[in-house]
Amino acid sequence: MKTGFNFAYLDEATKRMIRRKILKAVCIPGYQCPFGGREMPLAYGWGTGGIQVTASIIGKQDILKVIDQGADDTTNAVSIKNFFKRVCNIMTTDRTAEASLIQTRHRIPETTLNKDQIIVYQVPQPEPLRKLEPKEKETRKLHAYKEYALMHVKLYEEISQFGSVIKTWAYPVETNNRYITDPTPIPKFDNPKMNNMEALQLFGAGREKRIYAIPPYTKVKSLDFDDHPFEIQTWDECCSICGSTKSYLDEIIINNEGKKNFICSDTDFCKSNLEKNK
Amino acid sequence: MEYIGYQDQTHSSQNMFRTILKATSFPGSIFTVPENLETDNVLYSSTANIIFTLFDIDTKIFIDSEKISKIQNFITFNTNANCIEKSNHCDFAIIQNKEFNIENFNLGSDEYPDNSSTIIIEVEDLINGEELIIEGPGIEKTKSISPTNLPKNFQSQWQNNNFIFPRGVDLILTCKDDFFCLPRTSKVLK
Repeated sequence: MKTGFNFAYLDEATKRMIRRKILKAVCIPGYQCPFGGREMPLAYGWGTGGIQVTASIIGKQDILKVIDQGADDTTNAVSIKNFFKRVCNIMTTDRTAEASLIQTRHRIPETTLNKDQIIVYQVPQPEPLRKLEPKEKETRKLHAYKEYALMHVKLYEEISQFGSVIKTWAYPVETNNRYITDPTPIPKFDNPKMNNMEALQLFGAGREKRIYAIPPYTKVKSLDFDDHPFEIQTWDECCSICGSTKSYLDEIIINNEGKKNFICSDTDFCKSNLEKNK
Repeated sequence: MEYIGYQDQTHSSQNMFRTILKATSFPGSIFTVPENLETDNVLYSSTANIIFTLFDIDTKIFIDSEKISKIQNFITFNTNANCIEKSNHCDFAIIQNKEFNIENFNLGSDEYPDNSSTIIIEVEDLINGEELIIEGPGIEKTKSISPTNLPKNFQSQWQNNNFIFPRGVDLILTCKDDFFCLPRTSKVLK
């Protein structure tokens, strides 16, 4: 462990400020809590929000798992894991079931999370209405008065133009029948996992300086219309490594002729599935 | 009693924060604080743990108690937090008196409902009072709580607190080494 700075990098006063905000965020599910985001030793867009949330809650006993698009061994995941190993001297794991704390960029693990786990999402843009209304002052009011017609019109327009909602990632959800929430750029395949999840879900946006949360056993509904119900992605193929037909598949090009293969995006799920089937 | 916060500030407050976070995530479930803090009967150990974990110079504290000056000394000595006299401006309130009115606290605004008070209520007992059934986020089906020493009209006060959501206050009920949370999303069924 590196010396010369505090455990988990942030100073105690910053942690207390973030902790107070996290508690309020849990009390108001889906509401975006502003917080005093600090400069972190990596650039915005690499998970500075998620790292600040993780740093404020992590302890000596925690076992940390970090994934980037489902994978444990990609650049972002590995460097964040190394960061926490360096500043906290904690254990890390690739196994979803073993982890007490999971930081994620844009996926929810396939393995069902339990009530002793916390999942921290890295959030690029916390405001689901931002592309429809650029002013923060206005979107605050829209949330305050539960005025979400803009979002419904947008989804309606997609249906009238393309026959279905074409948004396949960061698909907006309604949390606890109140706030429309950005689920972060997870594929819409993962949206149903957020509903009534047993684990606490925390979201940190570093550049935008917002924290929001979804407590365990909370209703999370993907927005849809009665005649156009929400649907998740499906594939005709199965994973070419483990053969799974249930997990979210990544398409990869494997030769110059453009031959395609499909593999599980969740590397831990793929590995355990392979071991099970052996 | 002499303290200046936790001996091991970093790890003790982290441990306690995770307990509070868990209690907030699972309303009505009783949790025991990881460390016993002796305060010469000024405050419960659980309240003292919350104070050491969440209070600092950036927080405004309102106190409603007969032991107000002792509590004030304890808080300012250990955390440097500001004790104030207006309950509707406070971030945290510590209440030892039986009668209180939620409406007198900071309820936040529609735009910024997080800008609201968290009320820490010290009660005589967490399990032998009148039974209330609660439901809401963090509760799988329903949960039964039975704290003592709540105001007679607590149910109607709490219903109003639910009604003005997302505005409202959040409660932490403490007794000795135990506590549970009642965030504004928890609805009382009975």
